[in-house]
Amino acid sequence: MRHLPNRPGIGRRAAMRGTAGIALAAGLGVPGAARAQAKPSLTVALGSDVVSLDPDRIPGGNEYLFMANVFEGLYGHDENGKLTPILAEAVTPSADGLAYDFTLRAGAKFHNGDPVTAEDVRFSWQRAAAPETHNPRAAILVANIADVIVQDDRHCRVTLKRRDASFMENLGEFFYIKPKKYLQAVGDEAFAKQPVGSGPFAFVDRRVKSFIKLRGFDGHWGRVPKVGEVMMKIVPDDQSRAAQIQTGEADIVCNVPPALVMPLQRLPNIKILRVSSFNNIFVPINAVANPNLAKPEVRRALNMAIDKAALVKTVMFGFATAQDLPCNSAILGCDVKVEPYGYNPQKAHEMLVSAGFDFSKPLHFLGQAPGRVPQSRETVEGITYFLNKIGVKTEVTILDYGAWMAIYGGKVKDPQIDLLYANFTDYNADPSGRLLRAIRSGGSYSWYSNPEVDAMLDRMNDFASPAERAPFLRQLFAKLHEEAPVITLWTLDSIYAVGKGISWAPTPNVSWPVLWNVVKAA
Amino acid sequence: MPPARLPILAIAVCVLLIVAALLGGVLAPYAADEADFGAVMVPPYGLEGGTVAHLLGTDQLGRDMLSRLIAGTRISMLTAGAAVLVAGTIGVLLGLIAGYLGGLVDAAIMRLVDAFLALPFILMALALVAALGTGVGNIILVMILTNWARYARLVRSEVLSIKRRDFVLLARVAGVRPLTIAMRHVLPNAQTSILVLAVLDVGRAIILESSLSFLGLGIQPPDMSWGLILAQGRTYMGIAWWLTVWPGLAIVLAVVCFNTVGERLRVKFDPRGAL
Amino acid sequence: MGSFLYRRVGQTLITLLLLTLLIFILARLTGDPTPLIMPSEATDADRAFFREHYGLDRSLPEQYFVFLGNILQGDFGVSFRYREPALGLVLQAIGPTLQLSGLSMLVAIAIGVPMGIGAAVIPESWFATSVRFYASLGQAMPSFWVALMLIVLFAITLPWFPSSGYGTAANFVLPAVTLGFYASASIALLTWANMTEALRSDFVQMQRVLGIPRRLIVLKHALRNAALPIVTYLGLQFGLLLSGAVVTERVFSWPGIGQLVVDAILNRDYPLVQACVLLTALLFIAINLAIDLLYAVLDPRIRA
Repeated sequence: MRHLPNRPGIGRRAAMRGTAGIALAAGLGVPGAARAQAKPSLTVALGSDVVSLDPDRIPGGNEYLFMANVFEGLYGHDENGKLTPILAEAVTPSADGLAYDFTLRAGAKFHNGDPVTAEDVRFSWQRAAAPETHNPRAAILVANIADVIVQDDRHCRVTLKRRDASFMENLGEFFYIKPKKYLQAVGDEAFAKQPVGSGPFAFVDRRVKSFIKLRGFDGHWGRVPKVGEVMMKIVPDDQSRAAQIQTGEADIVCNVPPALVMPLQRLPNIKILRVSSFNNIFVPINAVANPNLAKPEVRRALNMAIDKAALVKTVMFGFATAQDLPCNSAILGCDVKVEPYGYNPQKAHEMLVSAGFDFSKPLHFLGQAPGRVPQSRETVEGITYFLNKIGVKTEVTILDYGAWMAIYGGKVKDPQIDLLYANFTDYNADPSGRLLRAIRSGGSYSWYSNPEVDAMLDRMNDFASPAERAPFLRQLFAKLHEEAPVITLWTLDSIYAVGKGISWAPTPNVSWPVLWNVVKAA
Repeated sequence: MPPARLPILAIAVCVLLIVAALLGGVLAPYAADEADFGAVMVPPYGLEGGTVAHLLGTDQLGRDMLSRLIAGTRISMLTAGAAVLVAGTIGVLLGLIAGYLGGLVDAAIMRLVDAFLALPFILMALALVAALGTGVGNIILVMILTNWARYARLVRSEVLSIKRRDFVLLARVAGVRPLTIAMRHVLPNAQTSILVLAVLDVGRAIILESSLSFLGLGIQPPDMSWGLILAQGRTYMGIAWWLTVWPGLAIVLAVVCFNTVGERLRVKFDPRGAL
Repeated sequence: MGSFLYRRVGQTLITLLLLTLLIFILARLTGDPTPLIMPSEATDADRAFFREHYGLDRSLPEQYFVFLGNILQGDFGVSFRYREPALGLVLQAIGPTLQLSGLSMLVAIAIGVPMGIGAAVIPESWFATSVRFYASLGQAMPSFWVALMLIVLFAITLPWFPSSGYGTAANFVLPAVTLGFYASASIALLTWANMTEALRSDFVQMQRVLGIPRRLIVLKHALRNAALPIVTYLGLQFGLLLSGAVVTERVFSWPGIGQLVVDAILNRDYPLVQACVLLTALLFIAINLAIDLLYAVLDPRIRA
């Protein structure tokens, strides 16, 4: 394809059609492999391996480094993180928000050459929602689908049980389209070993904890990769992973720790790419168990005690964006204007005194050992420093991710814990999932309870469209700002190091590498 | 090996470290966790940008490295010392019991010792930390659990060899109670080997602690140890070498000195090298 | 001989049984895997299904006997996290670890034995002093520290070897040197001590009197006498290498058992933890049992 003009508009469309033809030929056994090999191969160093290759078995956000490159939903996100049609060409929602008519993209194909049809959409819903699949994320989207009515190969209507303003935004990450014919032929187990999707990359091979090998899918409807084979190497150790770019072993290194950026930047031929992410760092306050923290004034004062700007500069090396609200401002509703809690230790202290805060009791602060989130331990140290400065005593415990998670996500919230270091990644701009889990009473990560807020959260998605919901979300976030259930800190930036000959614009706001637009000079 | 002289220098360093561990804060110019955002990553004195105020430089939060190292000495030595002391006591007691009583008790204890020795110690340490959580107390406990078995095995074999010696047999014939024999006759004869093993173990414990900290599962702030300082500084290796070099040197120096003292003791008392 | 063999093997079996209990308890102590394996969106029913599916809802003694019964049939369970048989994952990882440990051992012998011999032959010399210095450093430097220094020097500053990964011969160099350095220190000291003793023995002294060239005595007779304890030590050292491999594999992203087990512990992946530790321990015990038996053949005094 490199010889074809890659102009937007007509030229691009023509290029796509040409590509589809070639891939089809390859699929039929006509020698086309030589073509694929002509494209340069790409090596990407990643911090952690995925658990499952089956899109209905996604246990955590890390899986998307695979899913986002191999599978697709009807809608998804473009290079700027904006909602865009993917396997669908268009959608027409009904006025009541209970039905969505999708027109599938002509020319969309699975990696085995089968076309993506409305039948696949129906099957994908059935499989994802079936109780025997035990899809751990069914509750987010697919469980609310009442039916998928197949009209013809390229048209289907999805009807919902309840209105859900988050439906479109969630289609990308929570409803992947799987090939019915292939899956039924090989069965679930074989599919999980050799998955076939429709994304820009096809799965080739995998060795647990070692590598995942993908191949650029020349038959893709539009996002045809400019690279051939992609070797995703799993290099958990931060330093070793960063060294991969210095030694030239990797073309792209993901999740470069902020502290390693400066030494890498000094080297020739290495570029550092940074984009904002939805990975949010904050400190939940246990307002339920500790009467000392029950008053909103106290929680607001704690927010004022932290010099976020100083911590971003020193602890995060500037690779984070301080936030006024506990989310990235690109999250729907997070663009509401609020008066930020500026850094004001004196006022914070005064507020605590007038709220009757008991300074003699130390706050038990649970931190997370390093390994998962960059600078997690240093962040806790920094926050402790600022709290101590206004006279709030702290008692810090730092646990490994598993032990930390058992407490943070525990069914019963430990009354001994007053503050926690927490990170939360939204998979897309829809805030409903995060709020229900992290703020609503009884949510798996919620250390806060307020009936008034709960009532708001419960009707958060009960709107016909995102536009209709927007003012309500802003109101909700303004309320949360006032209530201050957490100490708001910052969102992390995704940092990539890329080697010689690579040009790439990483998709912002996702915490995984979307690789189809990587260009590598031969 | 050649006959050993007393390693004066090594002993002096060991004593110095123990003194630093005991006095701790008194010697340090600053509080170890006193952050100063105006003086972040100041290089050591003598380098461009370094000041006398921070002889060894400051870290990512502007804390004084010298003060942190001294505070680290305390925890590193405390964990190592406590671990060796308690593990030694438990191991010695069990070894005495096993060796002296023999029979089923011996078999039971020794199979347990074998099982503990067959587990790679760092795996056991990791699992225990994951189970118990971090913190100084738990790290000490982990080191005790991973270390006691060696003492038990050593003491048992010592007991077995001493038991057959004439003076013990005589005491037995004379009707001295087994416990008294063990305490009065057997233990003193085994004490040099125990001492040697213990001194050598201090070095091992320091390395184990730093390895755990390196994996992110050792000592955690606000506590401080050399291993933790090193592990935290490792992230900044490319921009501030002093964050890793000082604690690294401290570890190497301490381990070399304790090992040297231990080795010399071993050569002196146990030239066969049975340890 | 026969009774010694039976007793030794019997003891080993009891040790193994105790080990399974220890490992089982250790793994359970690390906490509930459910919050780690299941996403926060999962419903309570999903969580209950997970616990039921892996038998975590049963009582602990019941779980232990199921575990014991299964391993007797060679079934180590299915990894919670990777949803593959734990045994397969361990066997996949044990190859790279054994390769690395074996190579490190060769490195250690190649460095340590000549050093030890040299120091024993010329004890009062700069060479002996440097061997002592080398050995102290080798034992005192934490292996991750050595690994980091090697990466900085020989992968970044001088880009001669890859900094991490597995697959080519070049990948072996830095991790094998890291592990080998540590082991070579102990081997040098041990060879030194044994060699010194062997050189002092009546047999060697006699040969000297007989006028056999010193070089020949050292290489032929003294070395043979010194070799046996070194072999024993290698068995012990092999276990230590497996421990050292945990940290080293981490730094070099080596797809071995050390990496696997650390992640398994952090993920509370009980079946994988159990399989890793049990098989490693089994290997360790087997090697030492073999050495014990070899010893019994060579040295009849032990059989008593």
